[in-house]
Amino acid sequence: MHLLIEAIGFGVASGAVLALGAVGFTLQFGISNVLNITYGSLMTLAAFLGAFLLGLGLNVWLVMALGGLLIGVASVALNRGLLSPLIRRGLQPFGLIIVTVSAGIVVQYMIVAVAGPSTVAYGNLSGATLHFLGWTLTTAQVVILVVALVLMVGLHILLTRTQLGRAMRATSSNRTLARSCGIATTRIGDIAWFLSGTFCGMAGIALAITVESFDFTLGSVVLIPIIAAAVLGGVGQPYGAMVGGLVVGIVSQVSAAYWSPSYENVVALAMLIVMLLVRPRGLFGANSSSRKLLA
Amino acid sequence: MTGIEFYVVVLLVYLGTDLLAAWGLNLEYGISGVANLAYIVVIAAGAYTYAILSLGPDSGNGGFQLYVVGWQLPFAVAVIAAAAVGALVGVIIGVTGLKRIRQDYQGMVMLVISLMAVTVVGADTGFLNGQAGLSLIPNPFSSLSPAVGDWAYVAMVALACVIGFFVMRRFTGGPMGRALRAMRDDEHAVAAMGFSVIRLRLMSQAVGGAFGGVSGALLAAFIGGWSPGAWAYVETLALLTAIIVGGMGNDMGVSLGTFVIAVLLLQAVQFLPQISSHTGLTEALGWIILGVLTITFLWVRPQGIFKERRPFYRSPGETERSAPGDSATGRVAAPRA
Amino acid sequence: MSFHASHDEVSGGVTSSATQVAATNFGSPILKVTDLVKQYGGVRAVDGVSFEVQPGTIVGIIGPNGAGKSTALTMISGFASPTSGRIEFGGQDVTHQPMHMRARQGLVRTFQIARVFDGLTAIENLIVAVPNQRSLTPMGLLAGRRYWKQEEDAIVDRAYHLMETFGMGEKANERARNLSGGQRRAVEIMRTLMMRPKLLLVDEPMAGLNPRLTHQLEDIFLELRAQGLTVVLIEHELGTVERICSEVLVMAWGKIIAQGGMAELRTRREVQDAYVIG
Repeated sequence: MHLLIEAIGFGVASGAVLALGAVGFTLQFGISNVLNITYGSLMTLAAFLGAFLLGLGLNVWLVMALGGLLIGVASVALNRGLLSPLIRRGLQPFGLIIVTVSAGIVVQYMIVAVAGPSTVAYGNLSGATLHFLGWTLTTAQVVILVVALVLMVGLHILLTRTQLGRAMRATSSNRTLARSCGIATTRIGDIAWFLSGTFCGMAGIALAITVESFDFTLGSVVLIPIIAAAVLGGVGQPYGAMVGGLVVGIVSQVSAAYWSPSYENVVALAMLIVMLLVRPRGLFGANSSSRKLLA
Repeated sequence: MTGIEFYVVVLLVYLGTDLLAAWGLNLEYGISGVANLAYIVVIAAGAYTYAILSLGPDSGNGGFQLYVVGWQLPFAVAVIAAAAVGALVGVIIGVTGLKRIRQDYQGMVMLVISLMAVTVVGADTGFLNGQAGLSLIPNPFSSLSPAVGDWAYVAMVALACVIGFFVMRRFTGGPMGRALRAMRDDEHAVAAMGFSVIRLRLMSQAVGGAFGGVSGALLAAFIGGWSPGAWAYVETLALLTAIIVGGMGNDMGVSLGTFVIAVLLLQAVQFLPQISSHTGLTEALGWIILGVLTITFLWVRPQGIFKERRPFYRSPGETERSAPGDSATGRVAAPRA
Repeated sequence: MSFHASHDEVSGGVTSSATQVAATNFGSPILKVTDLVKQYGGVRAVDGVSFEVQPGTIVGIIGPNGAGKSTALTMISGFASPTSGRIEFGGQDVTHQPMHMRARQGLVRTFQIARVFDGLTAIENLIVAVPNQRSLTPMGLLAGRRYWKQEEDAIVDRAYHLMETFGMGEKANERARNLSGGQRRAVEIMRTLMMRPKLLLVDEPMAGLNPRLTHQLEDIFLELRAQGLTVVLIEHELGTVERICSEVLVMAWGKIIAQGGMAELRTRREVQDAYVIG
C-alpha cells in the first residue's frame, strides 16, 4: 500500500509535466487543426536552451520562463514560415505530417550539430526532499507541480473569462463561422501557436530539471506519453489533456513500481494504441471540435 | 580484398536493400496513398525474423544473447519467412488506417507504432535480446573466402532487385496500378465502383511489407547484426525523402531518388572534413539535409523530379492510321511524360 | 446514340442484364425502401421514407435544400447506414451490405460534387470502373499481360466509344485534374455507365452543366432507360425532371410529402408550400 501511494506521488509529479506538454500540444491542434510532430523536438530545444541559460548563471525558474517565451516565438515562426504557406498551397494531410516530422528531425539534428550527441545534465536542482500525504517529492517537483497548476488555472481563466478566450474557443469549434463573425482567426492562430510553444518550452525545461540527464532524443521519447495524454483526453481539448496527463503519469509510475521500470513507457504506449483503435476521439471527446478528427 | 573494394561492396548491398524497401514503401505511399511512417518496422521485422530463424538456439555461442524461437533454417527459407512476417506486420500497421480517421491522425498513429516497437523490443531482453540486439547472424556465403563471398552476396542482392522490380511492376504498372491509384485519389469513389478498399489497401500493405521484410533480411544477413539502434523512426524518413525527391508513383524516379538520397547523400557527408571536434556531426548533417530536401520538394515540386507517368491510349479509329510498330504493344503507345 | 451496341461487341451479343431485369421482373420493384430513418443527434434528416421503384423507369426526387434527399440516396447506396428501416434491391435485403457489395450487384451512385481520380487520365477513369477485370485477379497478376490483354483492349474500345458519344474523345488522355467542372461530371457519369449498372442513383447531375450538355445528358438518360436501365435522380432543375422522369417524389423535412407526375405535382398546394417555406 505504501508503495502504491508513493508511486502515485511520483505519477502526479511526472503527470504534471506531461499535462503541461499535452495541453500545449492539444491547444494548438484544436485551434489550427494541424498535428504538430515538431513539438517533441521543440521540447528538446527548450531543454538545451535551458542548459545554455543555466550556464550563464541565471536562476532556474527564470530560465523556465525564458525558455517558454523563446519556444513560443519559435512555434509561431514554424507556423507562419512553414506550415501555413504549405497548407495554402494545398498540401495533403499526409504531406503535412511528413513536413512536421521532417522539421522535427531538422531541429533535432541541428541541436546535435551545435551541442553534440552526448548527454547533458542540469546538475542537482531538486532541493530538499519533502514528505506529505505519504508522498516523497523533491522541492523542484513540488514547484513544478505548483507552476503547472498555476498555468492550468491561468489557461482556464483565459479561455472562459476573457474575450480572447471566447474567440479562441469559437475558432476551435468552427473556424469558418468564427471568421465570418468577425474574429481575426489568423491572429487567434498566432496566439494559439505562441501559447502552445510556451507550454512546450516550459514542459521541456521542467522535464530536464526532473530527469538526471538527457540527450537530443528527449523530445521524441516524451512525445509518446504526451500524445497518449492528449489522445486520452480527446485531441483538441485542453481540459481532457490535463486529466490525460495525470492518468498517463500515474499509470506509468504505478506499473513501473509494480512491474518493471523498463516498461514505464510501454504501458503509456499500450494505452495510447488501445485508445486510438477503440475510441480515437478520446475519453472526453464528444463535442464537435473533436469530431473533426473523424473523416 | 582492399578497403575500397569492400566499401564498394557495402554500398552496393545498401543500394540493393534500400531499393527493395523504397519500392515497397512507394507502393504503399506513392501508389496507394498511405504514408506509412512505421515502414522501418516491417524492415526490422524481416531482419529479426531472418536472424532468429538462422541463428540456432540461443543457448549456442555461449548463450550470451537471449531470443525467442532459435531455429537454424536454410537461407532461402528464412528469407521467405522474413517476407511473410514483413507482410503480416505491414497488414497489422495497415489495419490502423482502416478506421475512418484523418490522414494526419493515421500518420501520427503509425509514427507512434514505430516509436513503440523500438521501445518494446528494447525493453524486453528475453524477446530479441533487448537494447543490445542480435549479433553473429549467419551470412549464407560465410564458407567462401571473403572476396568471393562478398561479391556473391552483391550478385544475390542484385538478383533479388531484378526479380523484385518485375514483381513490383505487376502492382505499380498496368491495371492494378490504375486501381490502386484510383483508391489513392478517392477511396469513397472507388468503393462506389464496387472495389473493396479494405482488400486493396491490405494487399498493398502486404506486398509493401514483404518487400520491406526481404530488404531487412538481406541487410541483417550481410551486416551480421541487428539492434533497436538500426531502426529508429527517422530511417523511414530517408526512404520517404527518396520517394518524394525521385517522384512519387514513378518506379524509375523512386529508384533514382534512392540512389541519390540513400547512397550518394548519406555517404557523401561521411567525406566532409571534420570541422568540429565532436562526433556525430556528419551524421547530423546528413539528417538535416534530408529533412530540408523533403520539405523543399513538398513545397516547390511535390510531384518530384520525375512525375508520375500514365499510359497514352489511341482511339480505335486512329489505330489503322497509326505508325507501324504499335501492333506489338496494342493500343497503348509509349507513355507520355 | 447507342450504348448497347458497344456493350454487345464486348459481351458477344448477349442482351444486357439490365434489359433482362426489365423484361422478366416487371411488376416487382427493383428498389424497395421501407420506413427509412436517419437520425443525427436530435435531428431526423430522413424521417420514415418509403417508396418503390419499378425497373426501367426514371424516378425523380425533388424538394427544398435540407429535405433529406441526398441523405436518403446516401443510405440507399450504402455510403451511410440508416438508423432504422429496410432497403431491398432486386428482391434482396441490402440494408446492411457495404457500399462496394451493392455496387457489384449493380446499385451504383454518383456524388453530389463530381468525384474523379485526379491522377489518372480521363479514359483511365472509365477503364478502372469495369467490374471483375481479369487483370485484377490473382491469376491476372501472376500470368501477366497475355492473360488479360484481349479483355483490356475491348474495355478501352468501349471507353473510347463512350467518350466520343459524350463529345470528349480528344480529352481521353488528359489528366482528370485538368478537366473543367462539366467535363468532370461527364467523366463521373461515363464511369458509372462503364459498370453497366442496373440501378443508377444520381445526385444533381445537371448542376453546373451548360444547357447544351444538360439536354445531351437528358437524351442519354432517356436512351439508357429505353435499354432497360433504372434511374433515381435528385435534381433541382424542374424542367429536366419534367422531361425525363415518369414519376416524381417530393421530399420536405425528411418525409415524402407528395408523389406523382411532375405536371400534376406543380399544381399541388403542399408542394408549392414546401418550396416557398423550405
